[in-house]
Amino acid sequence: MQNQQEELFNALIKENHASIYRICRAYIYDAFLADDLYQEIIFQIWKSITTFKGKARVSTWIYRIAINTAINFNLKNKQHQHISLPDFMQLPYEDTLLRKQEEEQQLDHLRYCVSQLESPDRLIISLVLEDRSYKDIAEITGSNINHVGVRINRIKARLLKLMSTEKENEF
Amino acid sequence: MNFDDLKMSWQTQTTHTTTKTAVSKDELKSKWQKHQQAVLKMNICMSLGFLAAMIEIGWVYLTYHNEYGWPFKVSIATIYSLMIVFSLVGWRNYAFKKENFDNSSADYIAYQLKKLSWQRQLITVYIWIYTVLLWLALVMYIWEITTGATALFRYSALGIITLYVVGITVWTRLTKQKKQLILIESMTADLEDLKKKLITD
Repeated sequence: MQNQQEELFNALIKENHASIYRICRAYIYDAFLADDLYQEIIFQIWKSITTFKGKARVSTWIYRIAINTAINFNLKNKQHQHISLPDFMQLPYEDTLLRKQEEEQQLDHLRYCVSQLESPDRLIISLVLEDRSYKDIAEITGSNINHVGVRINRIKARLLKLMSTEKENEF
Repeated sequence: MNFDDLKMSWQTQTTHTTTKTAVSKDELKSKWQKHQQAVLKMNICMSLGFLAAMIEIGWVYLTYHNEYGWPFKVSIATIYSLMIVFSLVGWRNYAFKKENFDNSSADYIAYQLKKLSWQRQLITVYIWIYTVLLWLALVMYIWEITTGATALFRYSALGIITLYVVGITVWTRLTKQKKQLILIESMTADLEDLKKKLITD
């Protein structure tokens, strides 16, 4: 029985580790804290695997654990919440940006803009960026599909605005 | 710039973690076992301590109840009530340790809010009940055992006990509990905000 659970755990992590990691990077800008969150999520999946009854789809089950662990992590580590820096403090970031390759620059730019969103919006956008449908996201969060749709459109608009505003600030 | 391009860029990022966080199954097993052992040890200690105290107090009552009056009996009854209250609180706290991370976020947030509400009640209500019962038990006990003593000695002893209990209560309330309440309020506000924006806004 234990072997079965271990095999299931291995298979789940192999299939989903990239998504889980990306959710961590979406939720927390700092790479090292994101790694801590990733480790915590893996631990919670391990703990929960014995009680997995198959009522929800596996993907829904995994994402729920990831999102709830992120919520819990944020509550416990409030001092690590990302706060938007005042304008004059953003110069060091722009210097760093210049040194990166174009693709990595764009990605870091995107991560930075995601981190500027409010905490609940970061949770939702992390799922949207993972190609989760509105229905999936509603199921994971326990919200209704209409609310999710409206919320996602607002977040996307905000994110695109942040991306273009930050781009303008660079030049 | 469109969102689909951003999504594609996001999904192609490298997803390695730093070497310090490479999680092995053995580490997970060990962490989980330690967690289980800690919870089990705490429960066993609490249960054994509870049982020992009940037996001891029962023995005290059966040995001396003929020698003392009703205050002694009230004192014993109060101590038993205290222990029952403590036990119920302890088991409720233990029940709250079982968190289900695989519930929907709405259910998870509701559960965390319930837990915080319970913690707030513990500090603002149950601690007071505990303190009053403890004071009552000590006062009754002192009253009985100082039956043969002078009034000055008796009332001095009662005064010292009262001052001690009140002093400790006020000090704890102003220092430790105040910090705990501030933290609870802060976490509750965050969760309410999250619930509003994630689920219902």
